Amino acid sequence: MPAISQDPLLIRRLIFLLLAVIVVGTLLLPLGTPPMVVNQESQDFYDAVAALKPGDPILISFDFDPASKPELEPAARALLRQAFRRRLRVVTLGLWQTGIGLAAEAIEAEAEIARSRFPQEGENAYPQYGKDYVFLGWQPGQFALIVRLTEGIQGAFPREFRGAETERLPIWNGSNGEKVRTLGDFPLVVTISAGNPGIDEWIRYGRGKEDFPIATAVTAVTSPGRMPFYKSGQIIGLLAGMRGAAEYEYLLNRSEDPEKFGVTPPPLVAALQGMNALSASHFLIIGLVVVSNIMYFTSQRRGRR
Amino acid sequence: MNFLRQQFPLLIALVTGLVMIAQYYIAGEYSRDLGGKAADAYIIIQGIVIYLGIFSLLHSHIGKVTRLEAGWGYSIFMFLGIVLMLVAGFWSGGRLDEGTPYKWLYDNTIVPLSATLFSILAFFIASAAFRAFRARSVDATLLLTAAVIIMFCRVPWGEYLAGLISEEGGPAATRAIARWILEVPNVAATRGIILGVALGIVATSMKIIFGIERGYLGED
Repeated sequence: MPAISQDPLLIRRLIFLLLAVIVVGTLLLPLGTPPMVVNQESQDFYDAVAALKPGDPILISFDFDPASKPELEPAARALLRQAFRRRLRVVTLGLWQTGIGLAAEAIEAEAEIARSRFPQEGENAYPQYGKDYVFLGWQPGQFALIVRLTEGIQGAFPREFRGAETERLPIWNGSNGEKVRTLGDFPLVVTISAGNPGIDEWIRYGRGKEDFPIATAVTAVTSPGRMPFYKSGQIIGLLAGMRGAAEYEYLLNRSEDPEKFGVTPPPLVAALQGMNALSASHFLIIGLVVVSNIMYFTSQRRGRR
Repeated sequence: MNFLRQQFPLLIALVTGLVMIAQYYIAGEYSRDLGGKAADAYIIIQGIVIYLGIFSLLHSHIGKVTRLEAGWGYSIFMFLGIVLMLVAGFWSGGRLDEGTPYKWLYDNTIVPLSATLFSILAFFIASAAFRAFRARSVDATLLLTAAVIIMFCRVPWGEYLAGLISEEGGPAATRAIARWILEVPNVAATRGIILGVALGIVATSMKIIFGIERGYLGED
């Protein structure tokens, strides 16, 4: 029977088992949330939304699918929560066809939470579909759709997700009579981006044509590649993976204020709860790298002898 | 006939390419309108291509099943999936509303299957890290060291433990190293790659527009 170190299949299975046990264990055990330190790019993301005034429009693009749900949905939910709590006019759409169901669900869930924050009836009720928020849905075209949005949002999406004529919705009219027509009319555009089409296309085809501030939440694996855009100021806020989402949740939970934002809902914890599993899996991989190198150098020494 | 097969597509590529480049640099309503129309055309073509893709997929799998090729059973599942989603989609009027069969299938098949497939990556990464991250050379050692620092410092418990290990500076000092790696060498290398890719795209586009690169016509 070969030694464990000489059986690659056995080693692989052991690694898989260890990872599964560690991730599931840390998710199931009531370890609480770890101490959080907020990175500057996450703080900037939060500040970008916080700087908007009630009634300002914000465009949120859900550019992810169920594969990235655990990593990006917490950021999407937290962003919607902050946008609704600031009583913004929230315009949403998606560039990924298979993510539309997730987007619709998240928008409705957060709109419902916002309604419980501001328990007013009739004209003053917030948020109302079509007036305070709208989901435009999905259209084919990917980057061409972004180009089309720079020419006119209502033309790119003649009907919204529920089937109403987009042009007729009151959400486009600001309280001062200003109209939202193109991407350039938004004081902030945010893309929750898992890949392509995503933040790269928004910068290349959107900001290449119109000038609008853009922030993004991306998967951890793609975040180092987006750092040059953040450092150059082309992206004004960046949430990097589940860690970024956890920092954002932490900032949002900490800043809840019943006097400013109405009845405080249950705190956001989806990403914060994942931090223990994330930390544990990183430590496991570091441990594996160390063990692997010890084995490598031992075998090298034996070979020399 | 030869003109339609060879010269005509090249002419379309030349005219379309030049017009689209020009409209980007010419200000004014007409130019803007042209850009919008071109985007519309692309969106319409992509809408049609989706159906072409479905047709191509069905055609390929029908062949597999009729020839009883290896793995033909998976093709049956593919057909079942398409039929099931189509029926559920029509039944729900194409709407993903709560309580519809379409939404139920979306929530209970697409969402968990996609998430599962993506999650499996974590296992492969762990296994690959064990096999590949070895200090075989100076370059490999640098890569390995940077990876370990980033992995350790970009998770909350890593930062916390770093604070316990080194009281002076604590997490701030450890984080500074991780941030430096992300903001200096990473940004420099990524910028280089982005610029290189952009120049490559410009060169390839020029070759296509001026008919030097004809691979899309089926030529070598």
